[in-house]
Amino acid sequence: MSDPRNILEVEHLCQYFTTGSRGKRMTVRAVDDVSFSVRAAETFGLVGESGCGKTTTGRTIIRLYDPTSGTVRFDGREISGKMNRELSAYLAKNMAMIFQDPIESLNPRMTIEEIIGEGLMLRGMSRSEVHQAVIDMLHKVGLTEEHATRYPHEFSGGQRQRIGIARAMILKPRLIIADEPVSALDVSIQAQVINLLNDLQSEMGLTILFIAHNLSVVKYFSDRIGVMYYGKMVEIAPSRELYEHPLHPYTRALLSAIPQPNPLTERHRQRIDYIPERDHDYSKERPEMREVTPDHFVYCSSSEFRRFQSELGIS
Amino acid sequence: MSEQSSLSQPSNGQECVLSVRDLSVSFRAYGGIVRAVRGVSFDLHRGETLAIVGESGSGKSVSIKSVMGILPSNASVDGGEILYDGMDLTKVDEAKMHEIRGHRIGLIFQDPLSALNPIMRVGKQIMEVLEKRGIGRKEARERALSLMQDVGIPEAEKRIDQYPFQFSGGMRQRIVIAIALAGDPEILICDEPTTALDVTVQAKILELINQIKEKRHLSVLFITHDLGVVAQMADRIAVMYAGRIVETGTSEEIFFDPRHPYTWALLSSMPDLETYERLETIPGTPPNMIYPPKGDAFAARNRYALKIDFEREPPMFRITDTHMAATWLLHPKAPHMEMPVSLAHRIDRMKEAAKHV
Repeated sequence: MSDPRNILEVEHLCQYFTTGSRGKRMTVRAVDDVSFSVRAAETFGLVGESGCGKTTTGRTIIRLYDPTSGTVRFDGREISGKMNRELSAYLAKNMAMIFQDPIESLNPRMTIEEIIGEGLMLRGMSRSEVHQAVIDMLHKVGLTEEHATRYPHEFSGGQRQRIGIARAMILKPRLIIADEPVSALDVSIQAQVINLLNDLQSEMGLTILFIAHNLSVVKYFSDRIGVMYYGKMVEIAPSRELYEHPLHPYTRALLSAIPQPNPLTERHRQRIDYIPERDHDYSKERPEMREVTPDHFVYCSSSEFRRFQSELGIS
Repeated sequence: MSEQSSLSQPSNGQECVLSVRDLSVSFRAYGGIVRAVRGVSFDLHRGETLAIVGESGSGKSVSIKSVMGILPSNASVDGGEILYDGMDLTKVDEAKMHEIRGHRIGLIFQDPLSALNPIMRVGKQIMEVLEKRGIGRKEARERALSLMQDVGIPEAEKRIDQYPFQFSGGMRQRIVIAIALAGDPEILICDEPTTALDVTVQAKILELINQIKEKRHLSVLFITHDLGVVAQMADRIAVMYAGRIVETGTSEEIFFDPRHPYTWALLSSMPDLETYERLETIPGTPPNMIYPPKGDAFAARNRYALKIDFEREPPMFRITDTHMAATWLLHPKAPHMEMPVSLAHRIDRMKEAAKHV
């Protein structure tokens, strides 16, 4: 199934967490048999509600967690196996992460230059080389040289997120995992950060895994989108296709709930509810990921698959 | 178009339940005095939903906290009045405020978990309000049950004796709404009630607030930064920037005929589902309100700014009986400026979409 366009391939990834003590053990299947692939230089959006496993998926890929099972391949190399020094260095070289909360994710005792340049220092670059690289990066993200000696608390939320982006980008990674990078920001600042990510992506040829819950932003920013629900990937499609022809009932429910800034249509909006017990009958047929139209995958049973095809006018 | 210095005209004779006049609030902070609210005036009419929209630091939450009398101790009301039921709420004492708050004016907070007492059963938290009104324990429990049913909590008999941590985010917000309703208020103030919730849960809570409003003839003051939510909830909208209301009008006027450059910027900076072009951004950041800028506070970030914007603060210009905006662009002598092309296109798209419903 390996497609040469893919830079990241996730297959049957599971990430379970166990909680509780002896006798009362509980297993949470945060990510449950999730498969998808991301093509080089595209933005893949991962959406879903809180607790659906989108953040866990991102963190497992970059190995903040050890996966329970499944494989993750980056550029053909398996990165989900046993951790060692060499793999850790490989991950650090190729992937970086941008976090949601720009305050929590910056060390308050380090200057901006130390924060952004830390990765380069660890790679053994000299102080003056690091300094120059940091200054260049600051300009790229719309900050200035004088910001280098300041501390995180001196910056606004949007500026801090720019610092987080600079820290991720300076290592020239090939894949960025951006976990809700704009949801903590004000509307006008969100647009600045989204434009910045767009510019950097086209300039550096980056691949971005964009994790978010704001569906309008995801649609705008992503080439393809994966929708997650309770640890499962339920639908994957190119972003325009997903919004024009949502097939999985959960995707439909999710799209119907987005408030649109249009008072005339809002007053007549029909919201769709998703009730798994009502919407699916999996007692006889097991659901699996099926390709309904080229590039449009839905987690469904074979009878649902036939129904989706007839809805789209394919026999 | 004539200059208008206050917004006091009750439009088309509607009864006004709450009237804020020229309110100014400041905070004593480490670096100096922060002028959070600088002369805000608005009226809340009976049975309507007025949405106050603005970014963080615009003063929208501070305005609401002044109405509720829950400003922190380093804040002071420097001027203006809040007229409710023949009283000026900036002048009444805490004992009187205690009677009003939670009983005649209910409040729903952004974060339902921190609004609830974690070690008290939810039923008890609802009953507390009822018992305070002199309702006996047994009846209070009955009423708490029916309130929980009203706000859509299934199996209320079982849930009434549970603790907040046993509820999901959406259900917790329903409990907070039930507590607000227990006081039988006539005004409901919602401070970003769905910001912490998922989009499908948000949709249900917004529907619930609208239902309750109809059923109980409430007047709602709704604070948010989400324009989609505003479109769904508001009859009228006030847009705030740097401690002032810069534009106010009916929902249709603000969305389809915005006049203030800040409103233009706000409307065009978020992608909707039909946006493919590069996003319009507002350059820079909001001003530091320890040193409020001279003239129009938005001038430095405004690409339509005129020279006078940096010198004199614009008054409110009247566009229709309900629509007003504080920008010199509306002055008869100002050069004619059009809104950004991408926004004009978006408005056309919105009007087109509305034809198909």
